[in-house]
Amino acid sequence: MMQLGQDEPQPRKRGRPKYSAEPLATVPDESELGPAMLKLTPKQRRFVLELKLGPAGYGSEVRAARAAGYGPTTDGCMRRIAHQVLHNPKVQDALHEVGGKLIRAAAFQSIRNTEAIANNFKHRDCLRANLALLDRGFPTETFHHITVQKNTPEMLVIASEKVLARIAELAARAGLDPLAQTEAARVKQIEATAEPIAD
Amino acid sequence: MLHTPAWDVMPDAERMMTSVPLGHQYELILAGYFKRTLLEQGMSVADRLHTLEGLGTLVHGALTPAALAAVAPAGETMMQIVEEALRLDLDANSETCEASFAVLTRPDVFANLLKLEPSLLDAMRWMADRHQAPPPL
Repeated sequence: MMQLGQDEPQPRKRGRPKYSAEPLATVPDESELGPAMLKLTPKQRRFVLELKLGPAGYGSEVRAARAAGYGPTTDGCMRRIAHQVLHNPKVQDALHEVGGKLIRAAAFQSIRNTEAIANNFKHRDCLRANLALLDRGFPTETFHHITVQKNTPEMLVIASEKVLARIAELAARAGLDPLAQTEAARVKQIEATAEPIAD
Repeated sequence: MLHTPAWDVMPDAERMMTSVPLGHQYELILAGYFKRTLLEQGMSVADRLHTLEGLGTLVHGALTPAALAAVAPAGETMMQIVEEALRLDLDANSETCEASFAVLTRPDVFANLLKLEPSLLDAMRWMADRHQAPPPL
């Protein structure tokens, strides 16, 4: 039987610890920023960088907004401000730009981690890591993205009598004036006489 | 079927539109479009020949040479409409012209094109009665 005063369940703490609003990010020069970041105001830039460098999870947006210099105001207002800034399309673009760089940079660490697991034969995911590396190194199926641009075939057709006769025939069959079509074909011709160029 | 103002002007348009398949309707529109491009002077001999050959390939089934010959070159407004529709295919990067086909063969759009280019209706009449003698050139 449980004794009173001992092993009593502690009252559960309500709420979550707040993050410090101390700025963590230093905004670099404009020459080092990407096109999406350049479209932002200084506060928005700081907000994006604070989100990138600050703690992740609940309250991180509000912390980033405070650190970026929005406010001072109440918690409710700050939540609304953080929401508005975060959902601004320009800010979203900048987050995508900054996040993409972060993901690409973190990819090397992920490769090293996978390699370490693959070399650790006692690790339960050793086989999966090896298969993952194998798939990326020697994929059984490869995808090629090829863009084919089709243009009208570049034909050089001389308006010879035979060609003009064919044009007249086809034009008559389509209900067009054969004479007008052959005349139009003749007009396009550039007639010239070849002359040797002196050295 | 939608009732459009074009049918008030052309009483048999509704009957023609229901009797001529959508594919042929689309081909008639393209025929008018390409005939208009052939009237331009700047076209090279190769392009002219290529376009005329293409026009010739439209003849099949109910789309007889007489029906093709009955289509007049498209006017300025129709050219703009068709070009906008063909641009949808370019935007969609489609080689099958699905987007322009869907737009141009819509009953209300085609009825308005008939109003703009009554020669399309003439061609459809030729298609409906394909055993008649071809029109004079």
